[in-house]
Amino acid sequence: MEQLVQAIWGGLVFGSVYGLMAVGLTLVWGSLNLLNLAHGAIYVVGGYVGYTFMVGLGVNWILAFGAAIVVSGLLGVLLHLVVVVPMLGKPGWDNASWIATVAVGTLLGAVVLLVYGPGIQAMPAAIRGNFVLGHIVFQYQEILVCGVAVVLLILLNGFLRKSRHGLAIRAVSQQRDAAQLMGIPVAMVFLTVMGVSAALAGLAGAMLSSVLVLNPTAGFVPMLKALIVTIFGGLGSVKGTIVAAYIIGLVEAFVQTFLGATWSLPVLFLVIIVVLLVRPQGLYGTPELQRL
Amino acid sequence: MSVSKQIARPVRVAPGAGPWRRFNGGPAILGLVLAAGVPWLLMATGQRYVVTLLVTVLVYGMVAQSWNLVLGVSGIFSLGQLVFYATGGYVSSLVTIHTGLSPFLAIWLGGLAAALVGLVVGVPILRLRGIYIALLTLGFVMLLQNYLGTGPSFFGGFYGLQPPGFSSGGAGSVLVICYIGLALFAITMFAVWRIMHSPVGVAFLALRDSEVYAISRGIDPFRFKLLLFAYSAFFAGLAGAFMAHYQQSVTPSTLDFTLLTNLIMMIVIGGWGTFWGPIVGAAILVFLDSYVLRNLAAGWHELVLGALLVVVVVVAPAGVVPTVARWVNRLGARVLPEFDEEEELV
Repeated sequence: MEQLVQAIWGGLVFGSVYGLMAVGLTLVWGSLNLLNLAHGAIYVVGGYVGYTFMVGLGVNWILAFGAAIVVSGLLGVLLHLVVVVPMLGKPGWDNASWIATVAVGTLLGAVVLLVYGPGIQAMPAAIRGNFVLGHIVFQYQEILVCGVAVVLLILLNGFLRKSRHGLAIRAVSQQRDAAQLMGIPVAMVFLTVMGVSAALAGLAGAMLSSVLVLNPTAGFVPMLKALIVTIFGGLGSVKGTIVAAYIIGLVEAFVQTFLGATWSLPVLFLVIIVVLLVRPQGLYGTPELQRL
Repeated sequence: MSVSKQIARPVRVAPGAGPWRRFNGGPAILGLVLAAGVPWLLMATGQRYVVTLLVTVLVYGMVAQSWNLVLGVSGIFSLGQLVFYATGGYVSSLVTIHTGLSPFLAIWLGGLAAALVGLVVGVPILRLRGIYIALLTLGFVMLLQNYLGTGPSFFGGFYGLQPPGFSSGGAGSVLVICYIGLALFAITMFAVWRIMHSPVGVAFLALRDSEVYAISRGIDPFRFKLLLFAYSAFFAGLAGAFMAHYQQSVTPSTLDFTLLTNLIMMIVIGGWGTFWGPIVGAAILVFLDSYVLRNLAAGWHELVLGALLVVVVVVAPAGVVPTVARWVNRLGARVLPEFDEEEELV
């Protein structure tokens, strides 16, 4: 019973962070039709920026997380301007775009490796300590991660549902051409989406590095899980992504608790394979329209 | 009467109406003879290391070429080519270790096993579209890597298997292996060229460029894609089996993400969907890797590779081969076949 509750708690924590990462992937996919495989590298950059501020400069965690958000958001904007914009609308966008992001991911990983070395950095928890309820351990860091992620997801959802800019983003992801004809500045929307998506990934990196591990290749597995979440929820659907994030987080936590950590990725892939065979568009996705 | 048989009927068309081509043996055989001289010359001048590099180029060229058939020519976003590569290596190793069959025969079994796996894996995958295929095939790669490492003990765990080599060793053995590799390479390239420039290959192109139109003209997408998957898997398996016996070891790290991205880089840098692209790409990447990047510290290596790929994709999304061909032709003499941005098949 206690194991069960502990597993559920772990699932909620990881689900929240996967939600943060996957929402970014989904937004970018929805509006630009781009699968951003540099997401994992941006996560790592966020982690290292947080580390530099907390350990190197000794500032408190709020500033460090803020710095991670700003730096990775700017990185996303830069990536968009330097790599994505020159390729937008060119023939071969479908192939070239995601391969370019793979390359950007390699590049960023290499930069991090050069600056910080290949070793594992010990990222301190933002808030040390824990409290024990019954026999279940709640780390303060986990509560913080979960709280921040949930608040951000709610804010993001509100932003997308209620504000003009959010409406523009949703319009662009539903009907790009129509949105452009209605006078929505599509280029600005793309820039915003890339920036927000990268910022969320960076924050996820800064928050999760103390729970997981921080090294130059640490972003690959979280990115894979975010991809699984994205596909499971339905590409382009924010609501589906958030639901899927918690389901995947819980599945993973149960697998880790009752089968062992090595099984988490294989089981997730099995789950996603089964889901895709039964429901190719994911939980909330709309089936792809065939272009005639 | 199977679909491919019906298609392979001799068709009489006006010259130029059919986009497929007859194979012209002359230049190919001449090129092969010239190519065969290269390793011998290198060995004669004591460049043994370059010969080993050539073998690597041949193997990766085979894998990249077979993958390009799926990725570039047919536009199926499969990241699962390494599954077939590893299958070939493991099956061939297991057969030679347990039955004592000669590696020369076992590699073909490796290819066949990979083709079978291609058929089995293809059934669920090819019903999906685009990006879902990418994730699912990546999932298969990860699952297989995990299974080989932690599964039944006869796969040898993370240390893998140590199959016997082609020859008993000795000074000239690299040369022998290089010639075996060259023969397999030639067979693979011929097979890929043949299917690319046949009515079947045109069907693949049609499915890539306009699926709805292709279907309405009577092409069954699922059967064609499955045929392609198995066909391409066979050669990837063959390359994997050859590599296993050449290195006398095959491990789960064959399925590493690094190799996967490297092979994709070869295809993209060389030229996506072109025949010469993957070959040129493999040569560029292997030689760059061992001459330029080897002397760089860790980190710089990936930095240069990543930067190179970003530049190529942004500046020349079509790849090196089509871009260079266009430059050469622009110089005046139209010596090289012209590549079209949209239809990069020559």
